Amino acid sequence: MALPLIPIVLGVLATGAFIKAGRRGPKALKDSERAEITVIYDTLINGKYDPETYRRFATEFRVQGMVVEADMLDKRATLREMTAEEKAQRRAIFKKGMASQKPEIMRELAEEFERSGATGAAADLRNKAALLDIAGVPPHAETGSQPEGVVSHGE
Amino acid sequence: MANDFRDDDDADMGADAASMFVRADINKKPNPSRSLGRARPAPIALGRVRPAQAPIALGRVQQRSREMAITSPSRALPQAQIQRPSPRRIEGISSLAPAASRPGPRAKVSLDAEATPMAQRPVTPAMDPYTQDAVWEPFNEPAAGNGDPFEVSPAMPSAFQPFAEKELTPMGVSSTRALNIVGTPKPVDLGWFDRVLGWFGVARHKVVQATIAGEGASMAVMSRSEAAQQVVRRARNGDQNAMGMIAEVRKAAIGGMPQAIMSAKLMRQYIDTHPVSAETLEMGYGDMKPRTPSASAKPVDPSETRAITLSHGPKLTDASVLSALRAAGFGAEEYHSFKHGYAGRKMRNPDKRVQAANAFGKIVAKARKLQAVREPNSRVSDYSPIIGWELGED
Repeated sequence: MALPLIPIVLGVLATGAFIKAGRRGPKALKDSERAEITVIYDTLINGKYDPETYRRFATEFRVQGMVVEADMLDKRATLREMTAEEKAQRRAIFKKGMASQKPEIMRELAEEFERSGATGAAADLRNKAALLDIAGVPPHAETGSQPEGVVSHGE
Repeated sequence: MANDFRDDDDADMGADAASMFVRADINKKPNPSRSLGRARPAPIALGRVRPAQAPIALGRVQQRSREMAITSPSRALPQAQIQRPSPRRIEGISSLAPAASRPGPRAKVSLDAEATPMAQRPVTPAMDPYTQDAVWEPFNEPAAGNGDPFEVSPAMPSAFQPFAEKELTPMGVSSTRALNIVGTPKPVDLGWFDRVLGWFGVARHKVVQATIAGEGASMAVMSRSEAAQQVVRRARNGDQNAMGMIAEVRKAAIGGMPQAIMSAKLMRQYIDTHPVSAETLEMGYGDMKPRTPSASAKPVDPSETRAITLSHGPKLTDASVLSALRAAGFGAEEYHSFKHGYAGRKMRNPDKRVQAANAFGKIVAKARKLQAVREPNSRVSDYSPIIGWELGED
């Protein structure tokens, strides 16, 4: 007795499509959704909230599949949970970075601060490094040092 | 006034920071369809960036008034009178005059050598503007004790001369035909900010660049690093003049010229930090705006660059700032405008000197904040509340 091939083939194809649809995961974000989530993320990352709020939103972002953003929010939550010594050490490093006259050092520090979740400190260090690139660093008045190639009047 | 945090060995700082921070271990690969697609969040708007403005230059008020007098039909042209001393020396009259042993009455003499015939010129020498005594009119100092941060200390001596004449002259100011990279430096007129910086003993690298239109047509004032960046960008856009300049810089730097060596270093630094990408390649002169992702296309507020320059100089105490204001010749009105600028308020006044004082107040306020945040006992939250929160301050 001949098997009904057409229904079998259709059934196999339908089963395969069903399985593949299950493996695709959540659907891609729409533009409106992406804009709304971007605003929420920027508000959180540039604001001052308690660690519970950051962890709650990190969980939501992770459920939505945005792992990078969720990790950044978790790091921001841990900023406030550090010990007093660690916080004092970070403040000292930031002050040293602000006093530095080498833009490359400031940019390295900015990268480290951003990896730890301190995006404000990172942005400010990068801003100052860019300004130093444009303005240049004058000779230190106390040491009286002059940069190479500077010709004083009367000499 | 040594700043303990200006560590010369900055290489240790990077190692300390790297050992201190724990890098995130992200095992999961993010789903590209769900990620926001940005490596970094939107930057914090720390302040409004105003478009770059031309530096305010003092000394143009009288020129402007003369121009207005000439172009305005309702105003009568002013009589020929000496409003400010002419810088020209009258050699002819000086050579006829004897020494100071025969002083005579001061005759009214026109400083124009062609106005009076030689035979009719008096024997008495004309007033040499360079030997006249300057008239010092101190401004009305504000009453002390009212909480003004710039209150005058009564103990300040009247003959207070903190810097010698030579030290007042900023160093490194020169101009050449192009970018101060090669050529013989010529004297350049300083702006008010460079004069104030020079009073603090701080110099800026200042170059005067001849525009493409021709030498002397219009001179744009910029720092050496900015000029080096522009040359590199122009060369990348295909400007043959810029390519020639770079070749001249290289030749002069090999020859040992100090300015060329410094310019070459700045060009190398810019090239290393801003590599060429497909976005930057553009034939012809093209758009001069930077297109690399790391370079900001937003206009930079000139007060920010000036503030960071000033903050790396000597400590900005109340006495030093007041002395700088006096040395710049600011009067009571300018001092009032300076205080408004220091508080972040703008003065609506058409006088350029008043506007300059207002801008200077804004710059000093920013520079002092930068100097304060570097102090060991200062609060980072006073500099920026968000950064203070991130670094653990309550």
